[in-house]
Amino acid sequence: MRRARSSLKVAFDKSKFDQWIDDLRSANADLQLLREQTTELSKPKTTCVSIRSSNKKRLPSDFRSYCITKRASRALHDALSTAWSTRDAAHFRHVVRLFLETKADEGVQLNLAISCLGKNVIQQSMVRIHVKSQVLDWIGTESISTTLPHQNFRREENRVSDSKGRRVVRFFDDVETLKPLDPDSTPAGKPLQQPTTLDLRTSQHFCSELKPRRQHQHLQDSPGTHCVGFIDTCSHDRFRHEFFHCWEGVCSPAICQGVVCETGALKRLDQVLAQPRSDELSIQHQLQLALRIASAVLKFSSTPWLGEYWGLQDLQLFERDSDLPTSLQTIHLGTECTKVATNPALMEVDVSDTATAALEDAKLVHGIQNPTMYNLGVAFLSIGRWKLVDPYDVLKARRIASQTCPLGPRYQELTRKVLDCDFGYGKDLQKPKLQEAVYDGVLLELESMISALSFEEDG
Amino acid sequence: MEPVSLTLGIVPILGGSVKLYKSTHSKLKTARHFSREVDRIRRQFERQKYFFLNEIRLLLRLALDDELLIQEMVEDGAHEKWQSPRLNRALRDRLGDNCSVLEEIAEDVTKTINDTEEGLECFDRLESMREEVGFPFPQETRARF
Repeated sequence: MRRARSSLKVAFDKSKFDQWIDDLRSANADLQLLREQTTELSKPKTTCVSIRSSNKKRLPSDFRSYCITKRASRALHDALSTAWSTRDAAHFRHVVRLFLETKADEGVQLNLAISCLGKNVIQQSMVRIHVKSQVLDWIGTESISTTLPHQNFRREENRVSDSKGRRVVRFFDDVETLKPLDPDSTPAGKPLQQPTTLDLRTSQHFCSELKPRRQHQHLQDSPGTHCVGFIDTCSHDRFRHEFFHCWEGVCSPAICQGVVCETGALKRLDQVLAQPRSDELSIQHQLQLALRIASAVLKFSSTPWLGEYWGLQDLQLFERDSDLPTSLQTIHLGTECTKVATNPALMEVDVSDTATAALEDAKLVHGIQNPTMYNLGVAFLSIGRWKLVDPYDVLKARRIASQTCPLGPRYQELTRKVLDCDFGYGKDLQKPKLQEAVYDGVLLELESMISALSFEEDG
Repeated sequence: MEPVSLTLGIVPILGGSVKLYKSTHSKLKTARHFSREVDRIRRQFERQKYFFLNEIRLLLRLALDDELLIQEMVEDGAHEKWQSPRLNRALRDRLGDNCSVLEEIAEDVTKTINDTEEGLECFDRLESMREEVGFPFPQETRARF
């Protein structure tokens, strides 16, 4: 017994046992925390629901801005093509890049980069311009301001305030109910006697007017507030398009950067997607890209800027080294604005009858409801997987759409709906009901997914 | 040395911890007669064992719907379900990145209980001596620490 007791005295150290119990206690506390957090994280996020419902409320005003932007961009294309079809301008090629980012508050602001290429000049720098397009009021065209909404010319102050009450903003539905020009008011085709504006059509070849000049600095205002000139259109819609130089604070910061003038930095979006996805590109960036393109489809489809059979190759961006997220903000649609034909009847024909028939057949064979939306769906597939998907391989595209998407089930379902134009309002994207359903089901849905992600990051 | 988790998976490690908690608790129960101090340690250990088993039950609920099966598993660390690769995958999916944290906690627990068990080895000798003598130690002759 004595032997046993003495050996125990040496072997047993109660402080060690206390320490081990403490260790077990803290391990249990950690376990509890881990398990509680895991359970909490797997609960449905109530905050997302509230974000989504708040987005829903924004539908009417936002949605209407898309309709007016579509009309303004169509009219602008028409204005530029007509202006550059004169004998003097026909010696040059004009490439116009329309940035997807637009604003619509007082009129529509469209951001452009214009290249004017002469026969002997291989490369010429681009001019960044933003255009403010406003519906021409039949009451009087003089009332339209030549300044931006937030910066007033003093000499124009009275006119601006007079015009505010009379300005008529018309939306999609009343395109055909626009009143004819009052014969007593100034006809839209004639130059207006305004001190700071110039009807660009009176200029022989107005590209030279668009280049930024140092003389502007004698004015009190920055070049961005100075209207270079205007063009009126009255073919489909009556718009006045006022041209301003690109100026920081007026345009989007990404578009104002110097890189947006360099032809060398140009890259097609399909080329970008063919490269491996870089680490700097987050899921949020991918969703934002999808949102940007979807909003472009709503704004510019069935205008000369975006054809029915468009694709990622029609979208270009100015690439900035090692900053893909910023580069993606410079996405634009490019087009050559020159009407060479002299017979107006010929200009209306874009696609030959046989080609149209072939495309119609293809739609029937593959059950494509709406090619514009199908192409948007293919773009979504490519962005979701960051891998080019061939729009002509319809079977493969549909197979990919049925597979799990790295951007999650909500994105997968949204892509499927877009591919099939499955919004419950038919297949004609000209119909406001379908436009509204796309706005609600695609744009707001993407916005809500982006908000949910930023909420998670903030938390 | 390669971590145990790489070869086993999280569910088998948890099963191992359950088994170990129980066996060590039995040893403490046997040794508690030798001293009030050992009995105090036994009570504290037992408490931690129950907390641990409760946590394991709640964790298994993340990946299993069968409450009866969960109860059987927690009662028996040698239950065959602890070796199920499917359950292992399901729990991993639910935990995501947190799985590695859970593995570390479970490995810490295993190590601590192993240490505790080693610390109790001295009582094995005392126990064999008790069996040699053929009667339990009277209260007054218990080992003093």
